[in-house]
Amino acid sequence: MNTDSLRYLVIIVSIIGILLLTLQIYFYNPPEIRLVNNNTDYLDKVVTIKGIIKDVELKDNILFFKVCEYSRCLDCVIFNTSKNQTNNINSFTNSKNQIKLTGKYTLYNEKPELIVYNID
Amino acid sequence: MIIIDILLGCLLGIILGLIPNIHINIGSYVFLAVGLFTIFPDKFYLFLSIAIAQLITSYIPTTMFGVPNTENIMFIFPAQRYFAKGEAKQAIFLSLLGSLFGAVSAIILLPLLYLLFSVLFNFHIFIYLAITFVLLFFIFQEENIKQKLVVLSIIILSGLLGVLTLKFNYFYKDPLIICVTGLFALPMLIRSLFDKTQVIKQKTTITSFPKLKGVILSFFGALSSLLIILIPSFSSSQAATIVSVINQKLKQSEYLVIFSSISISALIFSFFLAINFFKPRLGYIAILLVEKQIPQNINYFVFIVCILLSCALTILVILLIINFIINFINRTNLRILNIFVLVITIGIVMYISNFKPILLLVVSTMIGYLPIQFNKSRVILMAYIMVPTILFYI
Repeated sequence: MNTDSLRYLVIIVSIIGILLLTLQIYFYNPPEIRLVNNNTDYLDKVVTIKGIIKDVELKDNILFFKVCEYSRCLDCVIFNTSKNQTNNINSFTNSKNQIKLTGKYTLYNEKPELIVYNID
Repeated sequence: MIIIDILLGCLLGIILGLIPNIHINIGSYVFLAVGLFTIFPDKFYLFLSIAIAQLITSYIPTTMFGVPNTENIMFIFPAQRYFAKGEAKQAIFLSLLGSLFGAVSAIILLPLLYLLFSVLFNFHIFIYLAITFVLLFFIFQEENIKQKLVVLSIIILSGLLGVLTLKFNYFYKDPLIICVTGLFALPMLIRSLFDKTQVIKQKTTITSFPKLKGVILSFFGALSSLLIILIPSFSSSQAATIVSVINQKLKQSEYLVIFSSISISALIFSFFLAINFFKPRLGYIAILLVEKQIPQNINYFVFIVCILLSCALTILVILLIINFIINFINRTNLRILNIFVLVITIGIVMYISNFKPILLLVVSTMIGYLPIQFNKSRVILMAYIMVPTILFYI
């Protein structure tokens, strides 16, 4: 194999690989979990959660809040949040409507937490 | 007791540093796996000495095997030229010199770092502009449109990989380790298997280097490191690139001294920022923070003594063992050793990430191979971390 063919091969595999990774994320349908259940099986997985937003706090460009279902609440965090995301979360807090969040269900300081990727 | 921590830290760091392609971040995952943080709670000075000893010792496998990581990618090219001339020991000696003088310079610059970080760390626009400037610099330093497009394409591909794995990490455990191995280590190892290598006998003698010049260059290196550490996602490689562009007349030997000074300073500054501002600039330190190994108040005199003692002890041990290592390399088939390193590297990554990341490892290795194929500096692959960082600030 000459250098040019190898170059084309490397470029094509790289582009196809990036496309595959994108499609993998785009078509992934995360499982929906309920806060009232035991969700330890979903640790370190991307999940969706529905609930009411409470205790919103913006600190150093990181948005902290809680999503609650009945009396059970889960800490949520959006790193380096945009103004749009902050407004979106605040509007849900004020309206008391249910929000659907997609993110990684993980542990922080041994407590469950959701690192939010997407807000619906 | 602190002296025992330092001695033990140096010993562990030297062992870790001698293993090819083990970055201290990977080391921290190994520590987590074996429960080292539980065995040694509240042992800040132990983990500080490990990091210093590992960094200084890692110049040996980097020079001998030519396998870099994000921290020392700019070190590899001059070191490999020395290796090709049979003067690997000289390259290692120069890196020891730079590390020692660099550590002293970094300690002198700590108050200035505190001042600069206190003033600048909330200026997100400064961080955003600095990263964008460096990315544009990578593109526009190329001579013609075709070369600019090649660099732009590599930046886009590695940047997209960064966004897909760091900003939206849906599937992978520790994607940073997988991608850094794929982008930086595996392409070099794979290429070395296909290179027609001839056996190069390494000399066991060294020529001296002017000490005053070493001190000046090391201070210059520490100063560049001070400016780079203020910006998240920047590593020693960016500092080394900037230094080499500012002063293009640098000799190989001078470059090695400056680079090793930049690296040790970046490590010391990272610890300092973690203690004072809880800002980890290194995966290893982030894990130390989570494991509560970084105290909020420290005795700075002990901190400085620990740094200097760790540097001195490590350098002393390296000087004692370096001839044994060179004789071993002279007697061993490097290709077989490279295959061994390749298998170990892939094995560690697979173990850390629960044996799932085949696609990610292949894609990152292919993207990492692009600069080698197009004869470009591999430091542009740092777009993998820089692009997601910029997106955080938009």
